[in-house]
Amino acid sequence: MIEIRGLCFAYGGREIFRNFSAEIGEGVTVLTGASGRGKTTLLRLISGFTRPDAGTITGVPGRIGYLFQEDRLLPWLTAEENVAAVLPRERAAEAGRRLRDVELDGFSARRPGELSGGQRRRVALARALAFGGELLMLDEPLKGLDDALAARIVPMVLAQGVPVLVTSNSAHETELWGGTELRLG
Amino acid sequence: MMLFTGKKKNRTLRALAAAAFWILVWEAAALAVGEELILPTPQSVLRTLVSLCGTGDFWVSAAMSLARILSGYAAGVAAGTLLAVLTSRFSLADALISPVMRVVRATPVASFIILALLWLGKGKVPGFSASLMVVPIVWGAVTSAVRETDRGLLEMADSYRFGPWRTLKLIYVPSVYPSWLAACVTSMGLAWKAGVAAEVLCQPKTAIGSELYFSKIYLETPSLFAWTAVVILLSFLLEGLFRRLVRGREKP
Repeated sequence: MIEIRGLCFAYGGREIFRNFSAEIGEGVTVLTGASGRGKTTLLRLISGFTRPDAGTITGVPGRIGYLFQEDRLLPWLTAEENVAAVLPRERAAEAGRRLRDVELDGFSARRPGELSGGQRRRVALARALAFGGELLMLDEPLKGLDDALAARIVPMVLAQGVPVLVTSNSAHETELWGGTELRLG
Repeated sequence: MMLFTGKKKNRTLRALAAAAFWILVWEAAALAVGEELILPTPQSVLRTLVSLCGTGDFWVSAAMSLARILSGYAAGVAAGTLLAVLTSRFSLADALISPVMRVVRATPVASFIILALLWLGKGKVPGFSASLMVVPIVWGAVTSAVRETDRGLLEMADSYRFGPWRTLKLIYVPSVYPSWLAACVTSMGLAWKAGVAAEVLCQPKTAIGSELYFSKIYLETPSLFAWTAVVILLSFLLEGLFRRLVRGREKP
């Protein structure tokens, strides 16, 4: 369980967290709240990419499959190579299966620039799932996906069997994910 | 059979027309001056060039100049790249190397040639001068490109535990490669000119620059023009070959 105690964080003169405390347990936790309330910032604080001004975050697993808010795909690699990049050499063949999981059969040889926004998002998601870890932290994983596709992707993610911390911008997405809602702001 | 098509044909015709125009201007100027010693006609230069091409010394001089300057160029590319890696990686190296590069950039090439004449043998000065033209250009391009590497991708690499080797191979090298390549192409022409200038000043045994110098000493103006034409043609040839070599390899 991740425990957040007395978290304080300000950015650009704006206070985002003041003495914020929460517990994030097993299963699915959905971070909700209006834009700018700190959903992405909280993920960055938990992952250690951003340091808090005060407070503690404990119980964070060592290996996290992190889907960033931006796709952060390597533009010079194909979709399959992007996924394979996070895999050890002996498991590189797994990349194709991960792309099929997110319904990108036939797109494995395309570079990010040749994919639509939703397709790039799925490549990034496939990469995070391929990396695996003891926790999946997914920042807006359904961005650019239509409702029907999102409804098929969510159970596939949940089937990984690890705790999921996910941000959501809509009540519909929050409902799709289920689990515990942690509302910010 | 069509030799050229569409835009390529237009470009070639335009280039030929421009060349013909300037040769006519040259011809008119040479006729107006009327003194071969000051400005020879294009025909006279062409005749000299053709007769030069028939001698073994011409080819030896051209080959030796190419070998000297290209080896200096290659050493310059390697040194510039290595120094840029050190500069980007270690702040101490940055503190030590950056001011030296600024000094090298600001120093006239003639000063380096004369200094190198004191330090090195005649045969090594052209290559050394050529490499000094290349090092700061490649160093600057690579250093900037490393600094401008997408932080988001580096954070992603950290998150997915790429490790130093995979980060270098998958992120730094592809990010830096286009700037490195552009710097290599740009510096090639400069290295060539600096190398020939060094040959003029230090006159190695067989060299294009030495031939240029002796043409001037013996007032053989058509020969001076012919050797200059050789320098220009070889510069075009080198740049063209290099561009062909790297074409289609914008990404490593």
